Amino acid sequence: MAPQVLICDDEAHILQAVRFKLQRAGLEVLMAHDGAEAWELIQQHRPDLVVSDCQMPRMNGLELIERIRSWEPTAQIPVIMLTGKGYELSPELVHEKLRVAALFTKPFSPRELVAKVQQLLAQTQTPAAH
Amino acid sequence: MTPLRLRGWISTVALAAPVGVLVLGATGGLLGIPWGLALETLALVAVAAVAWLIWSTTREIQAVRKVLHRLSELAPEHWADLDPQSLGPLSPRWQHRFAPLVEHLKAVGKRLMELEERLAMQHLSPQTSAAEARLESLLESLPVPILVVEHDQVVLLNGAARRAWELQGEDHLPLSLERLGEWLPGLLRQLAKRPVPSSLSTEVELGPQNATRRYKVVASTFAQGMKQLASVVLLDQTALKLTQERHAEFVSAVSHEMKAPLSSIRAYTEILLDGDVEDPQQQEEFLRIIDSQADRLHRLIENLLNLARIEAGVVQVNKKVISINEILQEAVRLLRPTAEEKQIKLQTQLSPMCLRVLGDRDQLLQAVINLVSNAIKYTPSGGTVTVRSRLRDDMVQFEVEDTGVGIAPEDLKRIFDKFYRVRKDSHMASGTGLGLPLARSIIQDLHAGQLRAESYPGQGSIFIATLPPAGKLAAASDEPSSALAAQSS
Repeated sequence: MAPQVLICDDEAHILQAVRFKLQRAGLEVLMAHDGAEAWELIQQHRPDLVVSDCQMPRMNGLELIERIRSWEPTAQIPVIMLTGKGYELSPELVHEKLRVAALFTKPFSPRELVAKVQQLLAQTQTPAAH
Repeated sequence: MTPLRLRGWISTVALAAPVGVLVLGATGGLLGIPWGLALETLALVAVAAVAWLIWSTTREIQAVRKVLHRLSELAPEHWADLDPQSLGPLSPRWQHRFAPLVEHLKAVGKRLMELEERLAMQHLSPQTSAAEARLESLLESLPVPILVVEHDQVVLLNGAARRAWELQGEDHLPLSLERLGEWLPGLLRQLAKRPVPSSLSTEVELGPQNATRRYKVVASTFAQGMKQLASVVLLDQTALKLTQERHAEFVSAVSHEMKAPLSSIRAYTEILLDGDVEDPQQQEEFLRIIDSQADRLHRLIENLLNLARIEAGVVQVNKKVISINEILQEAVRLLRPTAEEKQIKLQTQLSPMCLRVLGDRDQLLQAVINLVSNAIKYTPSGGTVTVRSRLRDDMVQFEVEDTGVGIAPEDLKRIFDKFYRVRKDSHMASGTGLGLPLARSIIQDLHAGQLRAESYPGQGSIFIATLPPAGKLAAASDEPSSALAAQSS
C-alpha cells in the first residue's frame, strides 16, 4: 500500500498544488484546511507523514504538532512545516521540542517539498518502524 | 549624677562616718579594748574627707553655673562657631554632659545664618527672586521630567520628575543621587570627565512594574558662577517605541499576507514548467489560479496604497450619486468564487428601495469588499455570510453578518485601529491589520458615515455601516447640479 501523507493548509490552492505533486509521486494524500480538522484525520488514519502550515484558523500548526508529539501512537510521525515567517520561529522550539524534520518557508518549491517527503519516508520505512 | 544626688551622697557619708566611728569607739570601751585613741584619729580623718568633698563639689557647681551664664549671654550669631573650651574650665565629666547641647546650638546657629543670608539676598534683589520664582513655576509646569544636580545631590526637581521616579512626600531636597537609580551616578561620573559644557545620553525604564515607561535620558553639564552643575532631562520614548514595534509587526504581517498568493503563483508555475501537467484542461485550470493569485496580490497592494493615501490626505475622491445595492451586489459577485472555494454560503438580503448615497464608487466598493472578505476569512467552511441593506432612521444602512469565530471583547475595541491585529491564537486566521481600518477610513473619513462592529465569540460578528442618503448630502454638496443630474439619469 502507498504511504499516506496528510497535508494541512488554510490556502486551498496550496493544498491542491501539493496534493497534485504528492499524488504524481505515487503517494496517498489526506487534506485538511486547519489544525483541528487535521488532528481529527490524523487520529483516524495515522498517516506516515504530516505536512502542515503554521498560521491557520481554529488550531495553528504549532499546536497541532504539539498534539501529534504528545499522543503516543503519533509521537514518532515525521512532520514537515510550511510557514510564511520561518525567521520568527525559534529553532529550539521547532527542531528540539517539536522535532520538526524540515521547515519550508513560503513561497516554497513543491518539487523540493516532494523530494524531502520521499527522503523522510524512505528513512522511516527502511528500518520497518511500524 | 545631678548636683542634688551628689549632695545626698556626700551628706550620707558625712553622717555615716563619724557615727560609725563613735559606735566602734563605744563598743571598744564596753568590751574593755584600748581602741580609744586610734578611733578618734580615724574619726578626724573621716571628717576631713567629708569637708574636702563638700568643698570640691561646690566648686564644680559654681563652674557649671558660670558656663550656663555665659551661654545665656551668647548672641545667636555666635552659636554656629561655638567653642566649648571658650565657655570656661569644666571637668571632663561635665564637658561630656554639655557636648549634645553645644552641638545642637551649633546646628541651629548654622540654619539661622543660612536663612539670614537668603533673606538678605531677597532684600537686595527682589527682581532676581521674582525671575527665579517664574523659572521655578515654569519648570514645575513642564510635562518633561527635569532635575539639576550639584555635588552628587539633586538640588532641583520638577513635578514630572517626581512622578517619573515615584518620589514620595518624604523625599526632600537635596536628594542623594542613589535614590534615583544606580545608573544615574555612573552617567554623571562619565559626564564629569568631559569639559563643561558637555552632554551624554542613555536609555532607561522607569515606573511601576507593569506600567514602565521608556525614557531617553540626556544629562548636560553647565557652569553657574564658580559652581558646576548638571541637568538631567527625561524624554519619554514609550509611544515612539510602541509605534516602531507596531510598524515592525505590520511589515511582518503585510509580507506574510503577500507570501500566500506568491506561494501559489510559484508552486503552479513550477508545476507547469516541470511539464508535470499533460491534460490541457488542467493546464488551463492551473494558469487561472496563477492569474487569480496575481490579482489577489494586486488587491492587497491597492489596499496598502489606498490607506496610505487616505492617511496622508492626498486621496482623490470622485463622488457621484450611486446606489448602495449595486455596490453590494458587485462586491458579492467578485467574492463569490472565494466563498465557494471555502464552502461558505454568501447570500444577500437587499432592500427593495433604491438606496442612493453620494459617494466614490471605487472607494465604497473597496470598503464593502474588505468587510465581506474579512467575514469569509473568519468563517469556517459550511458557514454563512449575509449582506443586507435597509433604510433606517433616514439613513442608508448596510451590514455584513457572518457565522464565524467572532471577536473577543478586548479585540473588538481595537479591530479598527491601524496595524492592530488580533493576536495569533488558534481561532484566528492571518490578516494585514489593514482591511478593517481601510474600510472604516473610507466610510467615516471620506463619506461622513459610521462603521461599527458587534460580536459574540463563537457566534459570529456583524459589521454595520451607516451612510447619509444622497438627498441630504446633495443639498449640502458643492456640486448640487451634477448630483441632481446623476440622480435623474
